[in-house]
Order: sequence, then C-alpha cells, then structure tokens
Amino acid sequence: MGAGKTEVCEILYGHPCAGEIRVKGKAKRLDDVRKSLKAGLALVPEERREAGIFGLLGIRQNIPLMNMANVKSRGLVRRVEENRLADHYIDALSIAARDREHQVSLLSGGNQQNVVIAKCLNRDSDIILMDEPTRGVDVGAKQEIHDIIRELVGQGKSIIVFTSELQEVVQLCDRIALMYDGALREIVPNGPDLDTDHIMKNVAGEEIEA
Amino acid sequence: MKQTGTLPGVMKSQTFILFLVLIALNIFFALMSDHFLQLGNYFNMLKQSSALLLTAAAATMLMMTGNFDLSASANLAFSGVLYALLAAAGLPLLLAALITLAAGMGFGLINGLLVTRWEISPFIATLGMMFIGNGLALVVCGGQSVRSGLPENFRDLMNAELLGLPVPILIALVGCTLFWVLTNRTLIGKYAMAIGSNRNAALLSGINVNAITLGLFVAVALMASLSGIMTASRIGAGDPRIYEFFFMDVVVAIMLGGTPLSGGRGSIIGTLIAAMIVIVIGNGLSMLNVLIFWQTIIKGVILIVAMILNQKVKLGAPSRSAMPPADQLGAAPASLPAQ
Repeated sequence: MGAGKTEVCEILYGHPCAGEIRVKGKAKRLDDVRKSLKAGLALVPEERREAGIFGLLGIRQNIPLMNMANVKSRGLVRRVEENRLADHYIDALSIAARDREHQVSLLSGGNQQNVVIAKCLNRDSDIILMDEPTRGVDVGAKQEIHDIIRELVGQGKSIIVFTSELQEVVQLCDRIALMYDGALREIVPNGPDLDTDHIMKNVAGEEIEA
Repeated sequence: MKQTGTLPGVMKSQTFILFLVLIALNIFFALMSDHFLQLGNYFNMLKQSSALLLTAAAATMLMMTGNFDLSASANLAFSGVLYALLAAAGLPLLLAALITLAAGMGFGLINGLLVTRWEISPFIATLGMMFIGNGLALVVCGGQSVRSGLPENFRDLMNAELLGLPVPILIALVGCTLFWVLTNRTLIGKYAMAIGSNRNAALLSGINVNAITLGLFVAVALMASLSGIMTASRIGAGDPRIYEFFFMDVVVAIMLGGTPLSGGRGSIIGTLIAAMIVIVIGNGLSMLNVLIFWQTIIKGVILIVAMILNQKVKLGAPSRSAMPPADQLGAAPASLPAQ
C-alpha cells in the first residue's frame, strides 16, 4: 500500500507535521495526542491489540480510560459510575461478554473493536478517526461496526474512515478522498453513479484523462 | 455459558490463599515457639515491618506501570545515614527529616527522568542509581555507621505511642491506606494499571504516561527515604549496610503479592499480606534460632515459587476463557445469553 492513509491519521492524532490543520475552520497545532483529543478528535487505531485495548483489564476498566471525568466525583473514581458506563456501552454496542469484568484480551476481535469504539464514544468527540475499523473481524461483526458508524453519523458525529477496502468505502462514505503514494489524488462524492473503476485507477496511481 | 474465572477473580483467590498461608505460618510458629504468639512480639513485628510495608506499597503501584526501582534499598540506606548525620550535627529532627526526604526524592526524580525522558530501561537506570546510592551512603559517613552524637529523642519516632498504638504502625497504616486509595479509587491508579497493560493504548488515549511514571518513581523514593528515617530511628543509628535484606524483602513482598514485573495488574493488599508473610517468617525463624543466612535462602526459594505461581496465573488465564478465539467470534452475539 503505502498510500499514506495511516500517516494522515497520525498527523491528525499527535504526530507533528509541517502543514496546517484546521478543525471546524480553526487552525490547530495537533503535535500531541492530548491536543488532538482537546480539539475534539478521537482515534480507533489500526492495531487493535497493540494500541487499542488494555488487554489485561476488564471491559469496565477499559471504557472510561479516554475520559475519566465521567466516572469521577470529588477526586475519586466511583465504581457505581464505572459499572453504569460499562453496562450502557455493552448494551448499546451489543458487546458479547460474560459480564462487565470480562478480560478484554479474551474477547473476540469484533468485540474488542467495540470496546475500543466505546472508549472513544465515552470521550464524546465530534470527529472520530477510524483506521481500518473492520480489519481482522468477521463478516457479521463488520456489519455491526458499519451500523454503529452510520448511527454515529446520524447523531451528528463526523467519522473519518481510513480503509483500503473498496466495498467498505462504497457502503459507508459520503465523501471519498483517494490517495496514492502519499498524495491526495481526488475527493469524490459517493452516490448511485459512483464510478468504482475510476476509484480503482486513481488509487492504483494510473493517469486519469480529464 | 459456563462459570469462568476472570482475572480479578483469580487475583482475589490468590490474595486469599496468601492470607491463609499467613495464618498457617502464625499457627506453625505459635506451636513451635512459646514467645511467638504474644502481643509484644506482634507489635515488634509490625514496627519492624512498617518501613517495608510503606516502601512495598508504593513500589507495587510503580510496578503496575511495568516499571520498578532497584535503588529503593540504597535510597533507604543513604537516607538513614544522612538523617543520622544531620541529627548528630545538631539539626532539629523535623528539619533533618525534611532535608533527608528532599534528598531521597532526588533519587526518584533522577530515576523517573532517566526512564521517561531518556528512555533508559528501568532495570539499567535504577541499577545505576542503586550503585550510586550504596556508594553515597558509605561516602557520607566514611563507611562507619553513625551512632555517636545522636540527640536523646532520636529514637522517639519509633518508640512513641499515639492512641495506644506505636507511631510507626500508625504511619504504616496511614501510608498503606493512602496507597490503596490511590491505586483503586484515583485516576493515578487507573492510569498506572492502564500504562502497564498497554503503553501504546495509554498514549493514544491521552494518558500522560511520562508524568504518571515520573510521579510514581518519586513516590517510591519518598517512601524509601521515609523508611530510611524510620529504620535509623528504630535501630538508633545510621547504618550504610542496612539495605541488603530490605531490598530482598521488598521484591519478595511485591512478587509474592501477585504483581508481575511487566505490570498491568497488581494488588496492594496482596503486597501487604506478602510483606507480613516475609516478616513473620523472619521473626519466627529467628525465634527458632535459625541463622539469618538460612532465612535468606528460604526467602529466595519463596521468590522463585511466587514467580512460578505468577506465571501459572498468566499462562492459565486464556484457557479459562469460554469465548472462542478472536477470529471466530464477533458474528455470534445473538447466541450468547444476555447478562
């Protein structure tokens, strides 16, 4: 691949870059993860096990970690609130687990991904970056994650999906940014008359006649 | 779905087994020696263990992040000697203690900065600081333990009583409660566990990994330094060679208590019970006139057994799962009973 999509993702999420990043029209310096979070971004990373889940911890302990304000009062973390939050997301994202203490490394790929998404949602960010959100999960779980993304968009969130699967792009996206060899080729709107051949040629780096 | 053991469940039972071992040891020594099962002896043991409990509690929290501090015992020796020297020089004890704590904190700052800013492995960084600390402890007192010229009230800290309880026991009680609350009920504790479980995920979740790690290195150094002051008060001297056994006891307490070197989980209660086991074994064997050298060997054996147990918990965990492997599930939430 090497199209540069993960690099774009990194630049938006804590990696210093030379260019200008504007979030909701305002120029921001996002050279630190915490600045990106503050600017209203959150990331569902590509490497779920290496960078997404806290494998040794249970679902209850995983979900609040991006935004502990929700489970804290007067300086102390409230177990009741942790439980409430975990139950809410286990229900909302249909996470299949024995109970909220289920160790996350022992969940299936799709359920682990849902825990990572729940962790991001608890942050209540307006813009959620998802790098290969359905890699390594099976067909059913993929459909579920797609449904979650559509629902989030329905709630007014912006989701930026970084993917190399054409099918996913066609099913999910409103606008499609095509990249090849580290550069943006074109931004095309999705719709019934979408030309998938055109997309494939673009991301394969072929010259397009105007 | 079948009844399965979550990790907290396993840990709880591991702590419970430790507790049973502690009780069994008490019964064993009570039967073997007439002097063991006496209130005075228990007060004595708790007094002796107060320094160990404090340092081990702090070090457990640090170990949850996957870091550890080999220099804690050297810090204790250095702090004890420095405190005795300052007291012998005529400084008020409170001032001497504050200066000592500040110097001891320096160990934590250096350790923390070496690990977080210069990304040196905690093993190398704190091993270096252990050598430096041991050397410093010997240098400042010329290799001789500081005994002469100490003020009369030098030992008061460890001998005084408050509300009918010896002060060192109270200090240990307050300190351990504090670290339990920090671990289980505050952001620092939650973040420490998260960092040990997955450092990358912690960074991407916006957790200030370096600040938490640095802070915990400083906390361990402070507790080690306080332990040095308490130990100096207890033995009535600043002894630069006090560290040997202390170091071993801290390591055995944490490992036996169920906190792995790699972090990600851990238990303050487990550490405290394990520390009491170490203390009871030391005290009990002394009463049976077992040489301290043999005690060292026994503690070494305990450490290895503890590591094997820890390894078993870790390796055993996945097989306890009733969930199918990651690549097979995900599609089947409907087949699972709702909780």
